[in-house]
Amino acid sequence: MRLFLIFLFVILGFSAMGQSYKGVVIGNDPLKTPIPFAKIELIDLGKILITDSLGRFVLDEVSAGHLHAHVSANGFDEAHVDIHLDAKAKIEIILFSAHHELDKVLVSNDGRLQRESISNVETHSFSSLNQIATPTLADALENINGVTQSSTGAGISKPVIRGFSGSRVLTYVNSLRIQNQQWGADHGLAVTSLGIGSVEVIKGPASLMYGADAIGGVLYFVDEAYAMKNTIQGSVRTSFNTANMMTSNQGGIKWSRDKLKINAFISYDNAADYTLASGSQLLNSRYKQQAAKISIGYNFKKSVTNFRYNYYSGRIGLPGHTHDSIVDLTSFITETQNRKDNVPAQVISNHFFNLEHKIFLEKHEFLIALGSTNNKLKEHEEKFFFPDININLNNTLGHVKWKYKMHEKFILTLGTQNMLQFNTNDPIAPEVLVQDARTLDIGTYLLLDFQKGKWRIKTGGRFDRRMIEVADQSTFSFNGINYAAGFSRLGKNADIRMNISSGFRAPTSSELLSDGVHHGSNRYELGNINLSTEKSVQLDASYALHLSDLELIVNPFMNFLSDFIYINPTDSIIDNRQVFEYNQVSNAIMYGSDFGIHYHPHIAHWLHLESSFSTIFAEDQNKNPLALIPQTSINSQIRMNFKMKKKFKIKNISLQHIYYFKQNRIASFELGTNAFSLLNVSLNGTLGDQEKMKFSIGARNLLNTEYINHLSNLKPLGIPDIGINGFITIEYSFNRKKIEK
Amino acid sequence: MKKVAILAVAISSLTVLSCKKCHDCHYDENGTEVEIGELCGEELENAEANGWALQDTVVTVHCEEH
Repeated sequence: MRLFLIFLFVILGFSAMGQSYKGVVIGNDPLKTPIPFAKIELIDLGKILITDSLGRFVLDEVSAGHLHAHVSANGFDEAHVDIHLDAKAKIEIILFSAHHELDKVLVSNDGRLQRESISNVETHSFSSLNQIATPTLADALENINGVTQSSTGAGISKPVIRGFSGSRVLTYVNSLRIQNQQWGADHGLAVTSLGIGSVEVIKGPASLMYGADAIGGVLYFVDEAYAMKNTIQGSVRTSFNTANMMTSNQGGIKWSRDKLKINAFISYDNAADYTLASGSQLLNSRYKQQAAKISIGYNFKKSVTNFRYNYYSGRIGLPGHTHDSIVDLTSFITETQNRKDNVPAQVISNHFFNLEHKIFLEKHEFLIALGSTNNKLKEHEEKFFFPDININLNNTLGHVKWKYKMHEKFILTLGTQNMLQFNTNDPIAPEVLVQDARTLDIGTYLLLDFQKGKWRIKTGGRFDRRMIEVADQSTFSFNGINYAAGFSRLGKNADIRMNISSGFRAPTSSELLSDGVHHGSNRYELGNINLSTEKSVQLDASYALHLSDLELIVNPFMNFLSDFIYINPTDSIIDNRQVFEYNQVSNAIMYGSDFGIHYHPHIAHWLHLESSFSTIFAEDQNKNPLALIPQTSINSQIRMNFKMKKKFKIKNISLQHIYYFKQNRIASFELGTNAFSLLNVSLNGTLGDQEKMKFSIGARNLLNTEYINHLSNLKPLGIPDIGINGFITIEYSFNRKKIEK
Repeated sequence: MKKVAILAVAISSLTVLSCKKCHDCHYDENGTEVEIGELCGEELENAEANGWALQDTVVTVHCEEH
């Protein structure tokens, strides 16, 4: 402990010297015209600056070194720039004038992860994913090409990246890895959209930077930025969904002084049983949840510290439960919409703590991140007061990273990530899904980055060791060596990327030892103690074209899996539920491609046409299809932007059509899924001169299509997804500058 | 402003504190459901923990909505 404190004092001691740097943002015209009121977001420091009327800005109280900034201004292309801080030279940032406003909506590869990741990383702002308001975060993520969701009713949904989900997809909130028994098909995403600014997605294995389990991909949620210096911002938002009579209320405040910055958010959602296309309600699809989060940032002269705390608690109804001896759809529906507590239900509470400290020196950059997560999961099957399952998962994480600019063109990154996890069952609870166990992960990685002109080459390796001690004294240990290599060429109009990356995942204790009904996923699950570690190697290529009126992306991939673990439906029925059994095949392959196009015609600058296509094929070495692979889909959107000068302004109208192809590449005893299409519409506007009041009104599944998504856990019971769902959202926000001292 | 805040806290506290969990319960007898009626709070907790006592036997109660 003493050593740790000394270490902390030493790193904080780097704050001794800092100075101011002046800069200017200019256009790319011959006169180098200054750009007034350009926004500069210093990503590493969590700071936002606005240039003055002459395009000038001052970056004070930072030390020499390198910073990454996202720069934007009206009428100019957004830019991501690496700023070299040198006391002798003025910073000059050049923006290229946009022919007209064509946002990079398909893919932006310039987020936090891309600079350090060899794999292709997509970055999306949450607002861009939510153009047509979505009731849950997983619904919003479905707008990312290649990302789908598996769900149990409306309250439980988890993202699926290129056919992978559960323990194969890692979830990060800022630099904190989130654990919430995610192996379970009915254990949903552990975070809500509260205070989320953007999401970055790695599709495919990313064990090099994220260690064991990152075999299918990574979801990295980034909090909203702090307010600008000496500013208070606040907002309150309320929304209502008609299909499940859901009310959703949230508020947030951002406060920022010279060095100290605070963001705080709170929300409460309450949903009744949802209405099917037939007009009946799905019994016990109700849920309620509350969340809160606070972020506190402090900028030293050579470093920045962030402390973050996230809280979540929810009671999620588990539909698909009946005591009827003859079971059909009528066993699960009701004509009385209700939101009262019922069983079976999951009662979940999460506490996530994260402390990170970044130090910026001339050629060095350090990150020290410490985290703790606690997930308490109770499953009430028949009784309100006595949970049948009561699991407590504690996770302590540490990540230390050193980045060294060896040469103008070479950057070396060395890091270690460690995790200590305790899984404990309440001895009073009658059922045990996962045995009491202690898991220790230790990982070390090395990454080399070479950059010359438009070319960038990255390569790296990693060693991991996982040790599991189970309560019955049995122990398991797994080692993993992973690698990744890739190159990119980022031109003004075209980007090319190609990479190869590996991943590994040790079987979870549920895959090894399950033997019972899993109510949330409506399955009887049987584990397999003979499972071994699964491995994967993915080849991924992407070509993106960015023209003034057209954006195009093609992203094929091929993922070679060995010792692939999968859950397969069988023809057995136990306790009125279909038996699903864990199996392993020596070799499997998943391949497919994402395509995207965004057209913004010259003749109609107010019109945006976007379309994306995603397809995945998955089969084992005997050419048998793998189970639970998402349907091929085409997601098309028309957005009309309006520029009104009245107090009541319609900002845009969006119409979205999603076509899901028939899924007939199915495993034995798996049910196929018919094709269906969904139509969504929304109108977004503002009220008042300063646009402080925003509103959004629209409907999802406008045609009230009756459908069952292929990845719905209620599919074996023949229970359809949600019917037509109208929504309205109203948001009031304010922004007050110059806090009185 | 202070009065509004106090009033808001008082109303929300009352709303939360006054929420007593009540559910319609039944037990199964020869394949048919026999209604017990509404059970609340401790009575419901006791019935779930110890069963529902009839004249000569104790039966399991079911209180979920269906």
